[in-house]
Amino acid sequence: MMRRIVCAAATLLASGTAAAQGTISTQGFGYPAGGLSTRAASSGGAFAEFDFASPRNPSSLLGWGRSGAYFQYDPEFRSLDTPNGSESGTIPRFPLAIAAVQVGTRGIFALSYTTFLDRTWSTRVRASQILGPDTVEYEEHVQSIGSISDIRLGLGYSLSDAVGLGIGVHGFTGNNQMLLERVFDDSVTFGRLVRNLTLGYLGTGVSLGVTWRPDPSLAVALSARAGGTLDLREGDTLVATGRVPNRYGAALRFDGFPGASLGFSVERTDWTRMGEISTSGNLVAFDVWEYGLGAELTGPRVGGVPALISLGYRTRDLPFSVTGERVPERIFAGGMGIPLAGPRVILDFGVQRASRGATAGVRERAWIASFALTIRP
Amino acid sequence: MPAHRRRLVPLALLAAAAAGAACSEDIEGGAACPLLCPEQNVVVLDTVLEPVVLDTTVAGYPTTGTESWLVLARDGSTLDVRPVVRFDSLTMFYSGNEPDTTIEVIDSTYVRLRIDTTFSRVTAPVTIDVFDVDTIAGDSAAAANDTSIAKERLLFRDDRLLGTITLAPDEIGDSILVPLDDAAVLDKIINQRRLRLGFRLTSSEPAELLILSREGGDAPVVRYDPAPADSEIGHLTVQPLSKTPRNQVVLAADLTDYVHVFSAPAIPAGPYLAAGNLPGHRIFMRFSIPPRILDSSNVLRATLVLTQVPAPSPEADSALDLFPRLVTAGVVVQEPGRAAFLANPPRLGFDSLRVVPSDSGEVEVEVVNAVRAWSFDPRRTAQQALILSSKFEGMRAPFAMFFSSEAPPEVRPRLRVSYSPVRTFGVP
Repeated sequence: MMRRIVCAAATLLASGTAAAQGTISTQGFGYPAGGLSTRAASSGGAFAEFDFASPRNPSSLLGWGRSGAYFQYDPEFRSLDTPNGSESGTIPRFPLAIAAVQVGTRGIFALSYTTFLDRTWSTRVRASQILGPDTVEYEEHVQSIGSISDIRLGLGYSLSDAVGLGIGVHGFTGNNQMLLERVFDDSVTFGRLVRNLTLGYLGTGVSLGVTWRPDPSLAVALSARAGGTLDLREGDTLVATGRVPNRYGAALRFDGFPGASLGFSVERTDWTRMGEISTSGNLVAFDVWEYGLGAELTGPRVGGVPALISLGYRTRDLPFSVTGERVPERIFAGGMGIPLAGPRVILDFGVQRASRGATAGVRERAWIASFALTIRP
Repeated sequence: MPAHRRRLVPLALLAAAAAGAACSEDIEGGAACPLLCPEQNVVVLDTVLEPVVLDTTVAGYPTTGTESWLVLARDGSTLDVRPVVRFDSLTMFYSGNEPDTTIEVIDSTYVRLRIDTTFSRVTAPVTIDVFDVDTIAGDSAAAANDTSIAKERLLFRDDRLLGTITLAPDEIGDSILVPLDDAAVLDKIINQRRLRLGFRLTSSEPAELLILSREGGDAPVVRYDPAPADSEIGHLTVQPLSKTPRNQVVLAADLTDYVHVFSAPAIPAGPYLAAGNLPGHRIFMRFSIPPRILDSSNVLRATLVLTQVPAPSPEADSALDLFPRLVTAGVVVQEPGRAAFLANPPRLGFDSLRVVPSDSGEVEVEVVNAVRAWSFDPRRTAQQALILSSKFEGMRAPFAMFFSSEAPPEVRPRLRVSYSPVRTFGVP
């Protein structure tokens, strides 16, 4: 019979550096993609509250005007400058897709999918660890693939020519496929540490929005989302329950200049509510403000329909901390909307230049390209 | 195409190129670690177990007739190993002036042995005697199904001596030709009898010759001149062959050549395990590892700690390499001798262990790949067992000894395990 003779002191071996995230933007539960269409992002988010393809304000769905579909692709080319050197990466994202159906003469019903928090990262570092009497070198690969998505069923209703209302019901779902792999240099003497884990998320929310145009040259939009519960599961096991962040947004739009529109938006998101599902005790989440300022200009005509040129600037703090500090993000953006088949098929593309940090000596910069196709047959 | 559309073409191409370039994902980083990389919750526990539920020494490896080398050795009275090669079908005809001429006389008969000079050891003149060790003449029913080789041991007698040769160490190359008695061999040819040759070595100093076997690819052969008067006719070559037991073809093939161990160093009685010696001994160890380690952890290191005992072994001060090997037998194979036969080849997942037989003290065998293999078998269909075998198993007499699980607690086999219990990770 086997007899256990010693259970040596359980030792939490500080293993040098054990890696995770490795970037500024993907700390915590991930990077908030923002819920902005290519067009809205290209103007700094200033027009997002009015934009039918940006699922922030459900009353903006009226902008569809008819049934249609929208699909967006946002590759991000990211670079990171650290005291240890620089590195770069490419993160393809498909952050937004919408299908809209006209309901009667006053309503638009839409189902949208938005990337809420993108937690895709991978790190590979070398370190050492004490195993038995020896200190051994290893390479550790830690990876997270996946995101939380915001799936919204929205209805926009035109109360009058000047007032539109909207309501949205949100489901927050998704998962993070986590991998931790520690491979020791001597594979005969030391076994490989491999852990696979799926973190699943399921939450709810409801949003309301209103758009008011008191004057043909002026529009105001207000929206709010009340977050419901947010469950975090490890496989089938409920690990923690928190709350989906509340969000409040407001925007002004001025169309008084010929061929140009100006916009300003402000948004508040209570990310601290998500901190409740943190189990590490290390997560620091913030309630953050976002400000957007932008312009849309009439461009050259294509097939008799004017193209749209967008410019904008957006600033916000990221929701999750790096070593306890807030991390600011500043984005300059520009883009163009090209009508391919009159106003019914529009190809939007835009470029954003994002700067995150510097914090703790690390600065992250990114070029975010954005491509979208709107079809309204 | 209108001018405004032409202007948009380069823009569209640029956008398409950027989109295409972004199709390949590259998310790997690490330069910002450890600053942006909080430590993972990797807890490593060190435990020392006494997990051996059965350990014993089993002998007889390689099994009779499967040796790649035939050992011909003598070391005074402590070591005496003699191989046997069977030539159960001798060529009776040759092609001379007429085809299929019956052999009536032979000359210059000899047996040729291929020698592995790398591992053979000869320091003084050696004499090789060759005996007729055929047990039963004819092809009776008893002879046809005879699986016993024990009677042969009594037939290494002077009255059965067929040939002898004495060689100085520098005369031993990669082949040795031992002349045989022409008349005795001719008698077997004419009467269609079996020629079974037993070899014995004598020398004033310890000596060992390794002869390639049929399994080794270059078996001993018998050659004779069937027409001494005709110089145009060369020697005939007879390959070894065993016709018995007729009802067991595989065993008959194995018994084409094999060795008899007449004497070998004795392994002391007591709570010991031994690996090496002749015939080859293996250490068989069966374990029981707690499920909390096998099923709920990542095993990062597993070290089998054995306490070596000085062994009364030949060449006791020379290094001896032992191979830990994973037993592949299922749990239904309970008998250790059978289970120890079913094992992975050497060097598969384990480093060898180099010991000096005369040494004592603790030695460590890294067996993490065995413990991990057992952890991948949640239905427990495979044995949790290892063997330790000598690198020169069945070829060399040196052996090493270790205390078994019946020894005092402080010297019993132990397993030191570093393992990481599976815990959640990745939640911020």
